[in-house]
Amino acid sequence: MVTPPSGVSPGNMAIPRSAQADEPISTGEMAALGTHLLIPTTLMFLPTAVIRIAFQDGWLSNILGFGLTLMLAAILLPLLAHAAPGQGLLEALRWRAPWIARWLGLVFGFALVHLEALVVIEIGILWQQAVMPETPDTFFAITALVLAALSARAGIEPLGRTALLFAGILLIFTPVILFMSFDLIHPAEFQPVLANGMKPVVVATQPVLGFGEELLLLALGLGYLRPRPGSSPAKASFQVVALATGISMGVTVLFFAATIAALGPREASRDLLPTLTYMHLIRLGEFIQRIEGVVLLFWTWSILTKAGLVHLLACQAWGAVFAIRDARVLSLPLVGLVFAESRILIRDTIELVHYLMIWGLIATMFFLVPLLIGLVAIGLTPSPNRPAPPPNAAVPGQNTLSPNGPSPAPGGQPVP
Amino acid sequence: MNYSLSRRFRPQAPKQRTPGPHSASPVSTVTPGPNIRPGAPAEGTPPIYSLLDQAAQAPLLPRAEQNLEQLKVMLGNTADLTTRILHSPVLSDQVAALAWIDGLVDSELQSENIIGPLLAGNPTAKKGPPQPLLAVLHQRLISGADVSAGRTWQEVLTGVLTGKTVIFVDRASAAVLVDTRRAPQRDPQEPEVEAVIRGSRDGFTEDLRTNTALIRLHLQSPALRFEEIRLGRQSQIPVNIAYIAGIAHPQLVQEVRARLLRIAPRFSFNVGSGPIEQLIEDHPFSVFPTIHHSERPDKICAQLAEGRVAIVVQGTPVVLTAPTLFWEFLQSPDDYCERPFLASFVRFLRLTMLVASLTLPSIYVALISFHQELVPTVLAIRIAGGRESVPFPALSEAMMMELSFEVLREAGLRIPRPLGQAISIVGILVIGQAAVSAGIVSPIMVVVVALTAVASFVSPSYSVAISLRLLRFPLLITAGIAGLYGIAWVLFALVIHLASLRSFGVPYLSPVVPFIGENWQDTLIRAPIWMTRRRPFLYTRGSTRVAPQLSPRPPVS
Repeated sequence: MVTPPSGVSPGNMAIPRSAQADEPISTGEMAALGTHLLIPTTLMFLPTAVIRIAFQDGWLSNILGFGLTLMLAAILLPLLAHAAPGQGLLEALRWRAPWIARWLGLVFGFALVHLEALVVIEIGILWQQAVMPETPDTFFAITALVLAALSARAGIEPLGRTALLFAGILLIFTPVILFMSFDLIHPAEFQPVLANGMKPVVVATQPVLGFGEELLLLALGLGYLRPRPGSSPAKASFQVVALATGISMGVTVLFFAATIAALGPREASRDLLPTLTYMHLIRLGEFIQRIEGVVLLFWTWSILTKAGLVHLLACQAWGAVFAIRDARVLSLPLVGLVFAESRILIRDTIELVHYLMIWGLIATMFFLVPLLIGLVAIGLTPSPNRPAPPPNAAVPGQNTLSPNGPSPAPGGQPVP
Repeated sequence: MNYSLSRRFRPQAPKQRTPGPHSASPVSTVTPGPNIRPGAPAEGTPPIYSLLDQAAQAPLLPRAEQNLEQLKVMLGNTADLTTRILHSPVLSDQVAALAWIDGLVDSELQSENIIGPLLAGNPTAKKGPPQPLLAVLHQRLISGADVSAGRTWQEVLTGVLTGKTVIFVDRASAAVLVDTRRAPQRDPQEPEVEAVIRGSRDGFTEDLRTNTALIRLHLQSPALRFEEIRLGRQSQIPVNIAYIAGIAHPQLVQEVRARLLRIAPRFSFNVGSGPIEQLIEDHPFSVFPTIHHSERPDKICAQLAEGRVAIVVQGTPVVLTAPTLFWEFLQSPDDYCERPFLASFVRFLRLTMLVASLTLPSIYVALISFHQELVPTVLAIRIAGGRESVPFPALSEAMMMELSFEVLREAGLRIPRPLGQAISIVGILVIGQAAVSAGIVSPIMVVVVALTAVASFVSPSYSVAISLRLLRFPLLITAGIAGLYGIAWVLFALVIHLASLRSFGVPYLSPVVPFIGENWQDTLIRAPIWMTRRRPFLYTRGSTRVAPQLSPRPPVS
């Protein structure tokens, strides 16, 4: 019989606080986060932007753009993971070159606030264009931001799991939706014609690359990635990039091609949200029709996941600026900043589409270049004598029954 | 410290008493004397408890009658304490004082095993070299199966309060505690709330030992372990931790043990397993239960065999198990008796109905209020026709109906059973029909609410069904405010919340997220038994559940 020791007080045996502490996430969860970083907004506005430049050859631009994205990300992220294993970009810089970390944190902080503002604008546009034209976009912006802040506050682990769940739903429903729209598709509409040669295709690659470069933002969250036993951080980050880009490219190109094939390039270029219009046309017999309600639900979940991840990364960036250890405390204050940005940024949907047509340039300036600077700084500065503690290091008293494998237990044995 | 209990527990003038919430209880008249230093009682502990704590650690007094008096004082002269003083010839006419709680002991057993031998004497006790009195009582005189010595008041009090008969003898350093328990209890019956078609027909009772015996009967493994922890300094509620050594992860067992020990010194009174569950769970502010419970021994044994830990509590037929995963609420013992395809189909059906029970009224409100264009035209016309005479918006209509249904359901639970069914049927049929006729609600709304109610009963677990009942209302309100976007918003928040939950360190949504493919064989789908080879690796030692090559094959000709 075990009897309670006389001196036991509730404080002596703390309940594990693993639910509150960030834990590393698996390759699959990180890849799912990367997928949600790319797919929802890409599907929404990219078709319009690309078709306006390359018409029915636009899906070739998609493949080309995502190919370049894959190449860039597959080189840079594993390089970072190799140079600073178990650390994100800003975290690695914080121990090597603190002032560079601060400046890059500032750049990333503003860029991420800008990106999140765009994301919440896009949520409003999606719902206003689809089914709720009379609801003010301020309502969508505030509600989406609150949820993004709360999910960022919950941490990377719940976000990663949610992303994985929604990625599964996305992968299941993509072929189902495409199958249901077979009768709408006219293959002649998306056969490559290259009427003006390859130039429009190459030019249209620019916005695709812009959306794709958002994947580089995962460099800030690489510290959360836990490689499988026997795998290196570089290999794990390569797997993340390959999976996220592969899935995103597959889904986007398929829907892109199906949209052009169903609507025709002329009609698609005139539409603000051609993918949604394509969904609107899908029906199966007399009993399944108007499935865009369901699609809207999935789409919203995906965008909200992206908003949550961007918000978390923005917190990290601003945390590097102000040297805050747990940057999630910035979660709620950032809501005000993003909301203000979203109110002054874009006034008109047409203006947004035009802006997104040069998104490649913006993304290169604010995502790719700072990452390159950071990588060079990491390469040039010697590694510190005392390695930086990863943000996901096990906290004493933390529960050791981790889903991701062993973690040090206070006085206990690691989980086999 | 050798002190007299009667001195220490002396009635005092009222001005020296500290009035507390328990001052009306019979023992509250016992107050500290002038020579008592109560020490530093825990915050919020009534003074009587700290005094009893001190007294309980004291040794016994030299005279049997003194001990009997002190026992009476400690228990506040409670009416159900029965005492008897005997002059036993076998003990050379020494005084033997007996005490027990009336109603908890078997009087026949007591007469046969204790009083009879003490009065008549045991011839064998007179032979041989002289032995200490306690040894004589313990080894030769008392014929009860379980005889132990109580050396402190703590042991004596625990024994008496659990149905043992205590025997004090003059000049003995310890009392003899004889197990004569016969607590009122019922026979194991099939639990009404967890009925199955092909499962076993027994269920747990309120007696801890009956429950552990039922588990032992179902799971006759030498690796099955029971550890006892007593909760509460005064109530001393016995709680058993059950697990299978070698399968349950040692850290999980340690975690359960540590959490129970954490609450043990401060746990005051037992009102079922619910308070224990709420004191040891991971997320006290979540609406979702992170500790599962069942009244079925076969279910608990299946969970033990999967590496979980069970908590059996005295006084309740509900046994707790940990860790708990969300998908468990979709599973029933019947699933393992049916063909895998049917079982998998039924699980998908349960999941669909679980989601429907949460979202159906809100989807209806969203479609009617915001997205009429998403409803097929013919159906939209029918709905519009039905709502023509309804003066309320769809949200008010749905809230009214849902609240009415909840009231009826709650009333049906409280009303005596024969009346309950009648009231439910009258409520649903008559009131629903009357509401439609009066033009207060539309017919389609009655259909939606009825479907939601039926869907909520599909889940084998009552606890998750009531969680979703609670969540239905905020979802309804957001659907009324923001349509499908509101539903998407709440569901996203819900998924984030579910993804952040853990049960004893194990992610609540595993093995779906985090994805653990090898444990999917018994989650949403139920694979054939011979294919479910591995136990859930997050909280077991990852051992093999079913040996390979166990798949059934036709006989070799």
